[in-house]
Amino acid sequence: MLEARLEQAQILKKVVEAIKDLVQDCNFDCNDAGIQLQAMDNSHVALVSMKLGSDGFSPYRCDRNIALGINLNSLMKVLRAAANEDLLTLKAEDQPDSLNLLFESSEQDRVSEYDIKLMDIDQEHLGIPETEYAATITLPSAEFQRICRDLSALSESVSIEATKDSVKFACSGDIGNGSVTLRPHTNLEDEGKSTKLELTEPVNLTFSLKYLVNFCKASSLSSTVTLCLSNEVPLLVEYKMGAGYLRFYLAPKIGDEE
Amino acid sequence: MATATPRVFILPATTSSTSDSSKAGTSTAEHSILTFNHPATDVPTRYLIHHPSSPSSSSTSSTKDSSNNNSNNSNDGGAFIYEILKVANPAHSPRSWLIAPDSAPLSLNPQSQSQSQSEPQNQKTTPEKEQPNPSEKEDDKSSLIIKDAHLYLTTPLDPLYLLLPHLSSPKTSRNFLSLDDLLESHPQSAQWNTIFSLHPNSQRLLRTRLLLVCDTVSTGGEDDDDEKMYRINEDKLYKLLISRVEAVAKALPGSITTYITKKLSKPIGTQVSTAWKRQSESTKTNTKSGGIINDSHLENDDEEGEGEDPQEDPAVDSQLRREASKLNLQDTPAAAEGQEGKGEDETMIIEDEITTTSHLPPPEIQYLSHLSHSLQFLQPYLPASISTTLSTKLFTLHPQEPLEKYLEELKALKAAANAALDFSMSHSKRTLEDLEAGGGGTSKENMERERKRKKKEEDAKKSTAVKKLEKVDTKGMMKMTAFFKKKDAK
Repeated sequence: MLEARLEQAQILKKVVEAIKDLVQDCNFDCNDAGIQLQAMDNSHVALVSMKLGSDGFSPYRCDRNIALGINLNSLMKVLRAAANEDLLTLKAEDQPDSLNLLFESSEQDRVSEYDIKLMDIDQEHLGIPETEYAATITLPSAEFQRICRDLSALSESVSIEATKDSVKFACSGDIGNGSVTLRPHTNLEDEGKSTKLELTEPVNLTFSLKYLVNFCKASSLSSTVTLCLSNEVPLLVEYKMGAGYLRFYLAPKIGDEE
Repeated sequence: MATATPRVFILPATTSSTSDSSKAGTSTAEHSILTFNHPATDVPTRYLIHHPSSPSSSSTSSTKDSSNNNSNNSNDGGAFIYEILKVANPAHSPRSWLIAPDSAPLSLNPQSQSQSQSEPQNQKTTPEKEQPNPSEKEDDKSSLIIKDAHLYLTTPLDPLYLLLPHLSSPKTSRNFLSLDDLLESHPQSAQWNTIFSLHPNSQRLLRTRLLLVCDTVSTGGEDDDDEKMYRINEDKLYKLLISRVEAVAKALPGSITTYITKKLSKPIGTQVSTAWKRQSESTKTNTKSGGIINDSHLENDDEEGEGEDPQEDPAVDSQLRREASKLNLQDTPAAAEGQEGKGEDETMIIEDEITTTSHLPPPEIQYLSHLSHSLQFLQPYLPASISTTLSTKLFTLHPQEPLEKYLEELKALKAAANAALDFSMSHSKRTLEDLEAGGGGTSKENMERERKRKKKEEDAKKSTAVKKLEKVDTKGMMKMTAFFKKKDAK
């Protein structure tokens, strides 16, 4: 059986909030290493991969591998009933047909309990190889969110061009064009506001802004976001969490650069 | 295969005709395993040779019960080669053998107990020595567990099948050859010699088998078997084979015949809508009651029971029609009028004959189907060329057209019944008017509607954001599966 207690319900809340608009149903794969999730959007051009390591829970107990097939909208409905600071406990049998969620508020001595019906989801797992990316950009997640939002007003797609001393987000649409250029800098007071750029070779790739905007819903999970780019492989957008990560992969647009 | 693993065999009975096992000492038979090339596949295959043994050697007995013993005893006269069939232990339900001596009467009458026969798989021709001393046996292996619960059945095999590929090969089929020459040129002549040395009667038996399929020429005296020369006669061969197929077809076990009958039975087409009824009926009555009788009468006179066809089929028809009308699924009257009248007449005439079995296939159809099934039992023993010729010869003797026609008809009936069932299930609330409005293409329209409904339901589950994202232009973007390979299911 599975029993996992999360100190703060908001972690799961934010994860589900971030991916529920990308995928509707997915399996939460629970094993002794933690809870993992891998799912593609309906068009199969983007992939989300999430891991909440067992370290992030206290206690964490999972006797055998369990796949929890959940409709993310349903899960979100239940999670909305939890306050951000609540203790959240997930429980499931070995062959579960429902997932039990327990929210405990230490301040108010309030305990709420919910069960979500599970579903059988036939999902294929993709093996994602470790990749050496040509460019790795770390920037404040709020900054990335702002760039995506601003540029999506003009165009459907954005080109991300990384050179050795700057990264340029550029787009052009019917009403005009625009670009944002960032240079690496270090904020000594707040590490989270620094911009870092590691480059082995210059890259220039184009991506769908709608998808990037969607990924940015995870911004609240982490103060920084890491973008990894290489020619002819999907863009990796990674938000690090305490004992895990939330990664999005997006296929580049090839051929028709607008 | 580990050579040391014990195996469980069901062996042919010993030749002692007395089933009184207290006289076990008189049983005089032994078993050896020889390898022959399989007649159809040419793969070396092991066969069991059942032969009398010298009285001094100890008896071998098998794990099977005496009822099997008796049934085999009757065959003992002719059979000396046995096929080894492996009844495998299915992987999905693993089993094991527990073999233990039947302890209570052991001390009194040791040899009468049925006991395990463990048989090393290495190929050998010497008889196995088994338990001359009961106490020793008990010490050795008082009980035993075998991990793989495979069961090896030995069933009598006509030695002709082993000889057939050789007999019919171009080298030997042209000339008359004596048995010795014939076997000498056989690829496994050594094995045949072993058999003859083990089983004195086998040569005589083999000659009688050969007589069935061969022309003979005698060089010496009339009675001198040794001087007889053999040459295969194809007519005789196929006559024999066909008679076997027919015999098997008539004696198929109940479990198989019920299965076949079930497969061939017409669906109990109560839900069949009249719309469909009328369509198929007009085509059916024309093709069927015409087609079958003509074929059978022209092509084959000795088919019995074929004459019953015209009665049988309309009976089925009218049964369906009657039930359809019972359901009050009457269509627009204008179109139905003509057919209805005709149908009514027929219904009146044969009403008495209608029984509950009217959806069963007619007997001659069943027989044809049994024939083709029994052919499948025989074919694995025949070389490919003989097997194909056999099937063509068999089917010229017993034309398959009625069966094919029947199957086609059955397919149509089943499809219609399924469609009608789907229809009635998904539209149970709909009224008669809807049915009529649906008309001929009901099932198709129905499916379309169903599909749309499902899509809508699915859409309703999606959040607006997911729906929006679906509309994003993904032109030029490759699927994730193009980058990441599928992992094996965890």
